[in-house]
Amino acid sequence: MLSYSLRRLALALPTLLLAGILVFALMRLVPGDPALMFVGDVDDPEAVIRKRAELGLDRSLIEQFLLWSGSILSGDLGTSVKTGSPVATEIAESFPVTAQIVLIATFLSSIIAIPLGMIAAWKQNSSLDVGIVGFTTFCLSIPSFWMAVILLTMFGVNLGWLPTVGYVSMTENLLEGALYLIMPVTALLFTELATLTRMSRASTIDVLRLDYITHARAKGLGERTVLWKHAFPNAFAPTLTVLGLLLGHLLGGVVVLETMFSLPGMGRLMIGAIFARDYPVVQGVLLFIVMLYVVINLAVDLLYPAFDPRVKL
Amino acid sequence: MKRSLLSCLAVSAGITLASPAVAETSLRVSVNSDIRSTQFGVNRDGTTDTVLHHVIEGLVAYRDDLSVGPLLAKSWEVSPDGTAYTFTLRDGALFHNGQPVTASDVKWSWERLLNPETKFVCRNWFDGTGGTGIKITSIETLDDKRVRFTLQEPNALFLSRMAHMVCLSGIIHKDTVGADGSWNNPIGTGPFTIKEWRKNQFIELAKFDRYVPLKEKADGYAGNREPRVDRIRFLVIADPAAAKAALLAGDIDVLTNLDLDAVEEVKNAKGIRVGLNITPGWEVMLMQDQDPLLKDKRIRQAIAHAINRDEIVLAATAGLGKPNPSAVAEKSSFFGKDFQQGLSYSPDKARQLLKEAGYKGETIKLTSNAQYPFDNKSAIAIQSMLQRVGINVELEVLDWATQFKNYNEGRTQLMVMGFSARPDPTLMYDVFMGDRNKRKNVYYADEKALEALAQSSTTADPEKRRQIFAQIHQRMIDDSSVMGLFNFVEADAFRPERVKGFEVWSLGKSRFWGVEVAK
Repeated sequence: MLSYSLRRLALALPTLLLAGILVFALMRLVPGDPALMFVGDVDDPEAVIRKRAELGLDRSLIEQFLLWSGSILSGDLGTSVKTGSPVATEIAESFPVTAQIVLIATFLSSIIAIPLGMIAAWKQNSSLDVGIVGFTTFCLSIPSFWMAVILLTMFGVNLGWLPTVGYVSMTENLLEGALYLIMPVTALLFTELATLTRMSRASTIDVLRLDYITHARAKGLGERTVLWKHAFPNAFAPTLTVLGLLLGHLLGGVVVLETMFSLPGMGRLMIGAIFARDYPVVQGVLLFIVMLYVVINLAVDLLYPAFDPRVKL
Repeated sequence: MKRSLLSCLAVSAGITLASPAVAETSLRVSVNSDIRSTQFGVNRDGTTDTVLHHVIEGLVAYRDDLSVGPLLAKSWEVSPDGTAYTFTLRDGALFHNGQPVTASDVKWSWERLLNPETKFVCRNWFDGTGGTGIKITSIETLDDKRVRFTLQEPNALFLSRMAHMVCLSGIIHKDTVGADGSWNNPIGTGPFTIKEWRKNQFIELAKFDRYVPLKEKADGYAGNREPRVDRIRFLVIADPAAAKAALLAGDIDVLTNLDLDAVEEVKNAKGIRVGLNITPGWEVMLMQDQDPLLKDKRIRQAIAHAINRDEIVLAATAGLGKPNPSAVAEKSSFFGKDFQQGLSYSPDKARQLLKEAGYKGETIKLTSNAQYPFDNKSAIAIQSMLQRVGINVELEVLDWATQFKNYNEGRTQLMVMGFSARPDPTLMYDVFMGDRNKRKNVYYADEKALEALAQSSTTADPEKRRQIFAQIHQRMIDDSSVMGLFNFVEADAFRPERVKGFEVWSLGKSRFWGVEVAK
């Protein structure tokens, strides 16, 4: 398993290099000028030229790329054009915020969605199944910004139960921190629930059709045992893959929710950097996201044999 | 009475929240983006300016009527030849570290700003290289409280530039800058100090207890800046709907830059008042006269005749803005009837001019962006007005960074653009007028108008300057390369039962000195 992990991590290197080139090139293909955005509404062409030189944007693209990748290799993600602070610090400050919401929401939605999907599959085509599928389709159809506005209006404005703005880290104050997370987590939960329930339902339906389930039932095992002991491990594996991808996707930043709930997360960092053409931040965050994907998918693959004995690493 | 779950939980769990002690008053204000840094004039944007003006003070500042008034300098004298300005510092002025402000601090602060290593983005406003040609040749201390700035040539705009809110030319204590040139928490002379900055969350200011204000009453950014609240917390709320919810929920006291479409709704909400303010910010449509099609003045004039400013104001500002065809703001002392004139709205005239020019339905691209609602809404209205007279317009909506680059390189046919407030008309004209060989973002380069513009910065007599501006305006209307649409409108919403003494003013940037909070 260790050698497998190391091999996988080594294989991630070409992925990272390719991602690096892509990220660098794409950012430069987009029109716009970081120096111009920095200087803003002060009308001085000289100031823009000076800033370009300071940022190294007057060098050739190859030179810029080599300089950037060189500093990445030495562990330096660069400095934000907009704020002047190191990109690594900006990521370190914003990632935990996103991670808190995403991990809590994903954990909660997993423990709700997976059993829900299995029950729907077990009672396939019954009114319960239709109800569950209908509910998840409804959840999937709600745009998250709308959900956010509804939550803010209902619990923030009308009932006055929850704070509409602000953020406290849960490591600083668990109770207060949790209070600020209720609305964003709820909003995210809705979108995740839908995806996971449908995945869990589909894979359970596939598994329930297999001979070994019929065999288990023929042995006289109770439905609960059949479902949890026999169907669950096999049905869970595909859901786990989706869960991994979902997690990677969400940890990269939940822009809409972070904006609506004024959370200092990585999605907002990224979107602000794109608007300001803050190359080092966009590049740094994207590379970080690629790394996240690699690590999460590796973790998923390592977990696979635990559920599916057919898979050997 | 609604009680937030937060306070209930806090009470029941016996924990103290981050809220201040009982006797302290605190004001919560929303801003739509975080500050960029505490380095005023070096790494700044609009929000950065708004916040730092509470901490850092320049010698002079704008009054509500856009004239220049005293701030850290209580008075000044100009030498008869107009080249020497002697400022006398405010009595009792202290830095946040308790040190008295002296003339040598002013000299040090200014020499630091003018030093290229400081990277002050407005250095060219004062070193002779900028459009208005102001060049400071020396800064001398006459005694502890008096400092003299000498210019190479007399210039009518020196004080205007000095008071400018964009490049705060603040006076700071030497200890703000470390021996290695590093930047610490700024030690200024303003009514508030920076207490805590949590990136992308909030910046909190604390009252400077030993602040000695000017006796002259508060007026715009000038005059008495006495702090009357213990803390101000500027909360970053990027989304307008979320900011509105926070105001309605009572989680903030003041909402700056309220979405104009929400004004009606918020105004009718209980316990909330909306302050509306027309600023000198100016919305224009640029017509590139270097373009093969638009170089024909008749086509540009036809476009101008086809546009109804009143309708644009309705579409872009919910009817709250003010049409203005000229670069002279309504609040400016130079404003008058001359500046309300533009080419009249006349679709017939437009069609006739198009016919004379031989326009054959060529597509003209109109550029705007999705970020600033004024721009995009104006552009949509303009497109339909131009189509009404038979002009084939393709609307191109870019992201702001892309449009700004195109603007700066002059790469456009028609472009809707907003120019942020420049209180003196010369400064506003200077944005889009100039030498095409030196910069590409020049959209009006008529020689006679440029001569007049140069005169306007060296002429001190206000009446003469007014005549010069009227002359530039007349030429500009006829040329129609830059078509003025309207002055910006800004809305701030607040809770009057809690916030006392808060008022909007002509430059729009919210001020919280003199503001009290009900306990």
